[in-house]
Amino acid sequence: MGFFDRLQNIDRRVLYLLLILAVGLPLIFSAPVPAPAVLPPTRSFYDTVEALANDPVRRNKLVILSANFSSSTAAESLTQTDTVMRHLMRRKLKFAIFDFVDPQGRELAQQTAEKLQNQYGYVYGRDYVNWGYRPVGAAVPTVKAMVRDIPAAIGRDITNTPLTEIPVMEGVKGVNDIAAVIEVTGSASLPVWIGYFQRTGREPVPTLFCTTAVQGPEAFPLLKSGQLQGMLVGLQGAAEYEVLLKEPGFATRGSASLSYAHFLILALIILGNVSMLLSRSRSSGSGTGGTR
Amino acid sequence: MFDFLTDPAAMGKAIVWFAALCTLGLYTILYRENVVFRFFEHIFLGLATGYAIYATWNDVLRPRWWTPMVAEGRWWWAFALSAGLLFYLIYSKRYSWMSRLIFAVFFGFAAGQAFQFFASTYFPLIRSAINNPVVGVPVPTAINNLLFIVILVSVMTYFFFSFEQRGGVARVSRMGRYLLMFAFGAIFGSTIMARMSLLIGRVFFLLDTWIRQTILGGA
Repeated sequence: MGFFDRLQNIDRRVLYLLLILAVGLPLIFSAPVPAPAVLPPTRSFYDTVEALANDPVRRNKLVILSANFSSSTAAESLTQTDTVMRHLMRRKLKFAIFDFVDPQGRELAQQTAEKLQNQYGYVYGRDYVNWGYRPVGAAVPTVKAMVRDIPAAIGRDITNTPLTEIPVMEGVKGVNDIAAVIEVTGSASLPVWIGYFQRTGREPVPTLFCTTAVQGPEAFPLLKSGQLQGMLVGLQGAAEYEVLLKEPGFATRGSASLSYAHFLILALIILGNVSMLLSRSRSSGSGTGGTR
Repeated sequence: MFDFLTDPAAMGKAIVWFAALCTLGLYTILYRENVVFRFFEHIFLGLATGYAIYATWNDVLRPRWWTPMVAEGRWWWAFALSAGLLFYLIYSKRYSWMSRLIFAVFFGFAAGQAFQFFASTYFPLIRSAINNPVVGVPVPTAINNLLFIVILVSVMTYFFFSFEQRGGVARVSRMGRYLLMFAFGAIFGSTIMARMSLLIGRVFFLLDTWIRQTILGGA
C-alpha cells in the first residue's frame, strides 16, 4: 500500500483523536479566532426582544419560553436558553417555561432560570413561572385551548399551584396576552405554535426560533414569509447572541472550537480527495489500471 | 459513609463525577463496541425514562386526572382510564375491534386539526413565494428575488413526474436536481456543525466543570 493509499485509510480512531484535540485545545488555550459575525436572523431575534421590552403595552404581557429539548442537544439548546433567558431577565420581561416534547426540557430550563435569577433579581412566581410538561400527543389540543384560556388549559405549574394564584399570571388570559413565543427545540415542534397559535389572536404573536444546526436550513423560508421574526441556529447562533448581549460565555468559546473542528474536517476532505486523485493517476501511469 | 447525601456541595461534586464517568463511558464507543458503553447507555435510557414517568405523573396525571377524581369528587374522570385502555386492546385478537373506536376519535381530531395547520402554515409560505418583485425594488433585492424564482421553478419542474421530461424541460429539471443537491449539502454541513457542537459541549464539561472546577478546585 502506497503513501497516498494509506492517507485514504487512516484509522478512524486517529481521526477521532485529532477531532478531540481540535475541539479541546481552543477551550484550554485562548484561540486566535475573531468574534462571531452576527447574522441577520440573530440580529432580528435580538431586535424583536428589544422592541418588546421598549413597548409599554407589550412589555407587560407574558413571553412563552417553550423548552422543547432534552439533554441530548443541551450543548446547543441549553446554551441558547441561557443566552435568551439572560436577555429576557436583563430587560425585565416576564416569561413562562413550557414543554411539550421531552420532560427534560422543563427541568433544564428551570435549572437555568434558578442559576440566573439571583443575578437579575428574578423571583419564581413573581417574574417567571414554569407551566411544566405536557405529552407530545396532547400538545395540539393544549395549545389550541391556550388560545382562549391559558389558566384553564394549563391548570397548575410544576409546584402544583393553580395558575390563577400565581402573581406573574395576573391578567394573562389567552393569546392576546402573550408578547411572544420563543421556541427552543431540537425537534419538529415549531409547527405547533405556527399552525395553532401564532395567528389566532387580534394580531400575530411574534415567534422566535432557537433551533439546532441540523434543522436550521429548513426554517429559513419561515423568516422570509414573516412566520418567524428571528432565529438562532445552533451553538453558533448562541455565540452571535452573546456578542449582541456583550456577555461572552460558553458559546463564544465553543465557537472557536467549532471553527477549528471545521478546519480539520475540511483539511481531511481535501487530503482524502487529493490523495485519491494522486493514487489513481499513479495507478493509471504505471499501467496497472486503477479504478475509475 | 453516605454523609455527602445531606451536604449540597459534596452532592454537587458527586453528580459531576458521575456525569463525567457517564460521558467517558459513553465515548468508549469511539474505540470500539464494548460492555462499558452498553452499561452507561442503559443507565442513560433508564434515567430518561424514569424522569419522563415522574414528569408525566407530576405535571399531567396527578393535577389533571388523579386529584380531581379522588380528592375533588369528580369520579367521572375514571372513565378516561377505560377510554385510554381501549388503545391497548389492539393487542387482543378477540377485542381489537374495540381499539378502533378510540383510534377513530383521534383520527377525527387529527383530520380536523390538519386543515387549520395547513392553512396557517403553508398559505403564508406560498404567498411569500409568489410575492417576489424584480421591478421597483433595490438591485440586490431584485437579483435575490430573481434567483429565488429561478430556483423555485427549477426545483418544482424536477418534481413533475406526470409526463416524460424532454428538451428544455429536462434541462430545467436537471438544474433543479443540482440545486437540490446544494440544499442537501447545506443541510449536511449544518448537521456536521450540530454534531461538533454536541462534542464541544461534552469536552467543555470534562475540561472545565469536571477537571478545572471539581478536581482542581478552580473558580
